[in-house]
Amino acid sequence: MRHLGVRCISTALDLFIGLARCDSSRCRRTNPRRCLHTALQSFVAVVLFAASAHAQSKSPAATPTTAAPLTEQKVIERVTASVDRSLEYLASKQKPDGSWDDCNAGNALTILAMLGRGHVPGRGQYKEVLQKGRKYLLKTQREDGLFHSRRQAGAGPMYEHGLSTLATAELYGMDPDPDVEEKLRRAVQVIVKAQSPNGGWRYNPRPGDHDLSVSVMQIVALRAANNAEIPVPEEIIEKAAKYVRYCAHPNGGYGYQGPAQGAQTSAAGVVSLQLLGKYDDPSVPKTLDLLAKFPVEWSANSIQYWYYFHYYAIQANYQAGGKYWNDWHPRVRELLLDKQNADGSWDVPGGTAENAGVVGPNNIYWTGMASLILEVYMHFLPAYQR
Amino acid sequence: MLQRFLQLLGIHEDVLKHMDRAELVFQRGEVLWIGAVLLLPLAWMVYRRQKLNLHTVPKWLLFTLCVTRVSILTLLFVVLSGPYLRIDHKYERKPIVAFLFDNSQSMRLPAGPFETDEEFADGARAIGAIKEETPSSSATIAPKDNLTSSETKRAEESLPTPIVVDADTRTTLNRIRRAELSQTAVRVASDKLLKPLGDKFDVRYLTFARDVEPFVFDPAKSDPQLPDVNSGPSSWLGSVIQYVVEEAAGQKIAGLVLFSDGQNTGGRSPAEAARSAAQVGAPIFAVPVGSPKRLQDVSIVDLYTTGQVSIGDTVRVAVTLESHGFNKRPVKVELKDGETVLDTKELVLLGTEQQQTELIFEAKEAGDKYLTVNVPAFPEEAEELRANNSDLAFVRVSDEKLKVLLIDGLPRWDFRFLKNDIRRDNGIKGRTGDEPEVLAEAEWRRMSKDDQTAKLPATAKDLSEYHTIVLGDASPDILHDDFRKALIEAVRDKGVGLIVEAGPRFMPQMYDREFQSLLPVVLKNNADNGIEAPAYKPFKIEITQEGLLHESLRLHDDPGRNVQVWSQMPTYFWAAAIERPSPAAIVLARNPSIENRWGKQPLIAYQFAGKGKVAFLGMDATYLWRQNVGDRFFYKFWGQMLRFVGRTEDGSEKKESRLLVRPVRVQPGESAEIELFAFTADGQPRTDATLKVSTLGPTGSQMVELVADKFVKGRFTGKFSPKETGEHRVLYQPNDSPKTVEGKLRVMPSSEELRDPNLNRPLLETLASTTGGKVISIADLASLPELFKGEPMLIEVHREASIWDNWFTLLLITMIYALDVGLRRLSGLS
Repeated sequence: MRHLGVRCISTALDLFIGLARCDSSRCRRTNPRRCLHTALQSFVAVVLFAASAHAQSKSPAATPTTAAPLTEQKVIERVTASVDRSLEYLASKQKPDGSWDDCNAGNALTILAMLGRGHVPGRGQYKEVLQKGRKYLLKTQREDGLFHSRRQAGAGPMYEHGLSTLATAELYGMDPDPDVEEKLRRAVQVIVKAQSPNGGWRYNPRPGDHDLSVSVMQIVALRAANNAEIPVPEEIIEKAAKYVRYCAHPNGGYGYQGPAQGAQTSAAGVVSLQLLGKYDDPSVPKTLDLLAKFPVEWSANSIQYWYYFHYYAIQANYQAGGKYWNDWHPRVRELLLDKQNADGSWDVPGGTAENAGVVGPNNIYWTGMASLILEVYMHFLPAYQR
Repeated sequence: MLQRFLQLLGIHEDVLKHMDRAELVFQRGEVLWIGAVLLLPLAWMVYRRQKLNLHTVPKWLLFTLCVTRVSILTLLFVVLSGPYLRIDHKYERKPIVAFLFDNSQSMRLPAGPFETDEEFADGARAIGAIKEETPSSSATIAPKDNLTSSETKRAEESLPTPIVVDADTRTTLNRIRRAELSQTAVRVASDKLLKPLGDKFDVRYLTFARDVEPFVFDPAKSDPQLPDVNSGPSSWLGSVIQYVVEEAAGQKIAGLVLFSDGQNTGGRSPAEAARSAAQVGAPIFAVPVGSPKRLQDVSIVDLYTTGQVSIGDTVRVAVTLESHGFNKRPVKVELKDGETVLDTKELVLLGTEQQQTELIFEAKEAGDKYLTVNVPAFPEEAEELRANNSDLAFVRVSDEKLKVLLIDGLPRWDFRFLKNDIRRDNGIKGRTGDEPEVLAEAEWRRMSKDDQTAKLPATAKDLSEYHTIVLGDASPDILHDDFRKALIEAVRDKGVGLIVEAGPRFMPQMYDREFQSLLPVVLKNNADNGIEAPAYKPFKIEITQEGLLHESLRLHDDPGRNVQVWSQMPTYFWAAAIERPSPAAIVLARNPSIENRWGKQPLIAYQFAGKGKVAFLGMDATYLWRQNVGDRFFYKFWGQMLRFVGRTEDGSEKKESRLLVRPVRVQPGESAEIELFAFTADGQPRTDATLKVSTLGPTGSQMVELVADKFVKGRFTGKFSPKETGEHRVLYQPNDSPKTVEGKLRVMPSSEELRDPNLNRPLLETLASTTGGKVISIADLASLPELFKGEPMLIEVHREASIWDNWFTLLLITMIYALDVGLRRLSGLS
């Protein structure tokens, strides 16, 4: 109102001056307009007083809300908290050179575990951990493209190569380092060239022998690379599918080097066909029914490679969905949540072949695998998109 | 008289009522002094001049004219000296006691079942139906060998006297609604509860569901007094607590008495609101209303469809059920389109464990479908709970296929998930084949020049064949000058839709102004590769009001759940360096962590660029929306956004009016947006400033005015908030055509409300304990007055009121001037 009052003052002043001028009769004769102007000024103040300001309303933000959570929210929170603790453990075990283990299986699994929780290099809580880990992994690649470890888990390097290629494929696009792309392409070529004539892969990067336990790792790696638009010849895919089918048992299940019903290879076989796009293969539901019969317990029992089995089994059931998923995942989840150590790591049930002498020290392998199993709920890794 | 004068000067009545003292003060006293000194000489000068000039006029006239002049001079000096009144006034501020009555849908359920005698006794006491204690003969102890008869009698006298609740009262109690019980209890206890409060406290009564409404409570009336809160059946407990705290505006709150069953289905977090209340020392006294015993119930707790499908698609409706009290009972879940049963699945219910099932059908004809999922009610289920046995799913079946082009730089995760999803989407195809065209620059670079040219359409004609083009973080090498020119032409002139997702390497900071002018955002000067959040403080996404209404951000049909979903989205660590939205932009989501003089940083926005719509995403990590749910929200957003921006006109077709209502389903009282593209009979966009459409609901109709979009000719928008449940039609009748254009909207109450209809006592206990309050039994309301702490405060306020900038002063000046001029005219002097 104050500025209106000032106008009032000026109007009054004008009035006074105008009135003074109008006293002169000569003024009235010669400047009738000025007199009219003066008279009109008295109305100016009325108009000014009638003016009012309007504040422009801004569109408010939507009211922040946290309504009553969904019932399964508690499950999600427990899984998320568990995975976060495991990643803290894994991060704490990284060596100065960026590795976690002399075997790249552990390194690749740890990188995948972090990616599987949505962490990416260059951002967030583990940006430096991932950058160092990536640098180390890429540094281990030879000129011919093979990811070479100081220590091998099996009789040859292809287990680690498959996992390393998978990790590199998932890093590709989320890390601006141009080295990632180049090394991924070379790693894919190693796998392509190493495929045996009947479609499988074995411990060493040359065509010849084959077994399903190594083959599944190459298949997943190829799927991830293909998903990243790196071309993989169709022929390779079809031969791989043919090989997996060759290992299928007529009553469900897949074997190591031919038809059988081993736990680990059965899980691996289902995932292989699913990721090769053969969801409707008749051997898949039969094998899923077989897998459902394996006990979910903290013991080796009939499962020699416990984490290997569960890593592929949960993926197989996830990809299948429906009753398979509904029946399987709560049991595995609750078991793992129950068995997590206070420091965030996991051990392995006694009696399995996945002891530290084979898979490496510091619980890296077990923790990485357990994290990846639980991270199936996160849906972040593109390679496993349903 | 003084008060009247002060009122004339514009002093508020409220101030005058409590005024203690008023003192006249001058801001510039020196001006007054100068005026006082100069006034006489000036007056003398005026008089002399008047006498010289007007020597022929009568003395009285001369004198009067001098007085008018001198009066104006005097007024000038007074006004210039800045006079004002210094007013002291006192008023009493009583602490607030607010009675909050939950009036949501769940409060219309029975307050029972009451089972134990104690529960019945409390209930009966609450409604004033308690009987007097029965004679002590009814309280007996069986005679024992070692007790004498006098000892037995003494023992009996020490027994608590049992309360007898007769059968009629028990029936009444088991039928009374929760909301009614609350109100009745307050009325019955009014003598001991409300009367003592009147003098010391500012008592307020509020009822709430989603919105809050004050009302007047008359304890003398026995009829239900809670007004219907016109905001749907949701329960927003946190919001009503926050409302009271904010409305108090510093006034002490002695207590909030909350009558509720503790169910909260949306709005502000009750825990957060309780913390706000605790900070201002406002205790919450929670009065639980309802039975903690889980009612026998089967309910649909979640329903999901993709929302948009094409003819020939298999539509999947995912249903989640929860049940209690029907363990191992078989149940049939039905999917219906009207009366037609599309699919059924059978389930065996398992206690309180949630169970999922999927119902499917093939989409055979185009159109909007409101599908009902229904679980037939068991006879044991309470009538009021049967509403949660069915829910609605919306599916839009299109006979058109969207032609989409997706280009990105490196195969980042958003790209990978999106390309797979659009390849699977039967409603999407490419320009040259059945699959959408997808191009990653990293692969494109490795192609021969000929292949590069073949793979990348670069003419306006080719690009115009697409409905939607999605550009990611690709470099200016692949999105070269010719491509961009063609793209701009295709968007502006042909209406091709464009979605741009930012990235740290190139998009959009490495592109020229012409390209950036398409976007609904303005970049910061010297924007390089975006803004990174520190690890300890990641960015969040905040949806605007426009975003909540918008079809692309509608991840859940239920608005409360939709808000919840967005508020729980994972945090992210990178955002494009956006300074502000473009003038014509509609901002759908923001980054609340970054704010400048234009407001919070826009994160998702769109605008019309010529004929085309351009949407911009300032984050590159929508894959995070997959957390825990996979494609469900990720592709719901992308699929809806692809279709929203998609070109809707074919240049060869005549332009016809069309009308869209968004969203297609709302709750009573919730806003829906109407978008009308209006054309004349000869296909020209209408240029009216406003157009009217009519809305037809189940029982009535109304007109809604739509306002023209100043950036897009022929586009009109408006909002309306239907209150009745049922189907609503929005109709536009052009003047020059008999053809009516129509849109539809389904209004349904929130399905959240009855999902878990039992008493949530832990939440009420939390509210009480957080704020230093208590949980009070409904039979014990008389104990409340002594729990309210606080004394009325006498507030002294000093105010200053200017006394010259008002109507009175203006009138005075005008009257004096008019007198002067009038006298001169009458005397023939002017």
